[in-house]
Amino acid sequence: MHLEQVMLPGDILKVKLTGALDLAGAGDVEIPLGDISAKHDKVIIDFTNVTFLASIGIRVLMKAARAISSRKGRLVVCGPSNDARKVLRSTGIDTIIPIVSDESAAIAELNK
Amino acid sequence: MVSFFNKRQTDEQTATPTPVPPASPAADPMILAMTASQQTATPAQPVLNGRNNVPGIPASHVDQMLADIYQRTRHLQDGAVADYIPELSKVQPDAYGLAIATMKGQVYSIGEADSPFTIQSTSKALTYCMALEHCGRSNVLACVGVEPSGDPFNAIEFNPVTRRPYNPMVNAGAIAVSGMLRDVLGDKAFDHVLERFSKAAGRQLTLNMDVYRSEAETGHRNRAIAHLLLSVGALKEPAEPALDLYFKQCSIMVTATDLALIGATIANLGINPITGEQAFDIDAVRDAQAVMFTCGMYDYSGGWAYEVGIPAKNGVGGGILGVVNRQLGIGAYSPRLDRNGNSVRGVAGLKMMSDVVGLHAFDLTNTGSAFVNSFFEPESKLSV
Repeated sequence: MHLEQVMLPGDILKVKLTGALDLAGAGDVEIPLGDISAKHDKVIIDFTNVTFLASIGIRVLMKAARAISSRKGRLVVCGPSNDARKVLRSTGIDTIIPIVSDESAAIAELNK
Repeated sequence: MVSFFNKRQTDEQTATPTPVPPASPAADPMILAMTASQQTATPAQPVLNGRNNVPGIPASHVDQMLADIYQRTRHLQDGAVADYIPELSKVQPDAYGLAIATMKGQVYSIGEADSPFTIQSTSKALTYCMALEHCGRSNVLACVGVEPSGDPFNAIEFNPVTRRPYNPMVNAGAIAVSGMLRDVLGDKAFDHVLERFSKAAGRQLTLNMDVYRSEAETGHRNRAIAHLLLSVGALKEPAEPALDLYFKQCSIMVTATDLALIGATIANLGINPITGEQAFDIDAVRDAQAVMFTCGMYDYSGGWAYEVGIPAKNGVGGGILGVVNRQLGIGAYSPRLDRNGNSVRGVAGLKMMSDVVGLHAFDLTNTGSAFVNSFFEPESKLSV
């Protein structure tokens, strides 16, 4: 899985994930997301190009969100496909991590 | 189910008669044996993925998950084939198959999921279900406990407080259970066992006479256990019919696909999800899953609950049967065993499957009982 970081205005870091967040993908992003969650308080995870979401991938995401929220920061997921959104809703993750449709909605969510 | 493919890929998979398998393993003949089909009386012909008999439900991401896990674990060469009886040592050590069955009767498999092997200790979970139904829960509990033993599966040792076998998933407990079934079902006990196992698998299973004879001729340690059971009153005289039933039940031939369907039957409240036939009692499958969760994997039961987190039962033939209550049955087959008697690849494969699909009982994506959610809804009208 490919991970690309883009700094946006307002100290917001956008992390664009590309590929499958499966066993290998979760392994690929666990350490980078751990570093990011230790350094940044406003993070957008762009799910637009995530093609597959495994439970272990959600775990990696949750750990990052927890680390950021412990500093009163926030992590927002944007752009998931309908299937991914359904998974995140059915597992109750959307009650813990805000899920929005696109980048502008994510920025608005972080600036609330 | 917590994994998905995006819409574009889903459309391609459903629109194409023979979908393209995952890129990297495509040249592998074992990967080409990957199937997603409903169980039939004869083993399914090796086909590419996508032959799913439930309309409108694409199989692609499940098949690809199986292919990924298969590729990641097939290189494991650790462990050794069981050789305590000559017949068991004759198996192909590199055989490897995985299968999943759903409550809708979908069956997904990869590798040598239709290769036969002897069920061995996996039978213990099934005869325990039968004993609970035929002999009554209290009688079974009076004869065999439900506590992890911490001892090897063939230990000649009982709970010092109760003077009964620790649990029905080790040899001592399973032989006591076989004795109870023999007492209730008489000379036809094995016929009943084979019939129930077959109903659970959804096809007629058979006895491997060579393995049975080999087990019976060399089962000295199990005979010692049986005589110890006699001495504490956990087995009635004579011991030999109970032992004979035990040796036979262990010598029934199954495949990984069979184990997945048997697991699905347990998960489906005792009813085979394809045939609709009841194989086990509704209360028995709850009790059996509890003991499988705490005691089902020999000395690795604690580690299994910690790492994989589902009820399961192993067998020294190389099989593992996993159950995800009300959702899935899982079967694995690979004969090389670790020092605890568990299939090396099977354990590794099911751990990965647990991580991908969120099977672990305490996984953050596992939200638990649907009933609890309903019960605590403000508008709930469950009270009378």
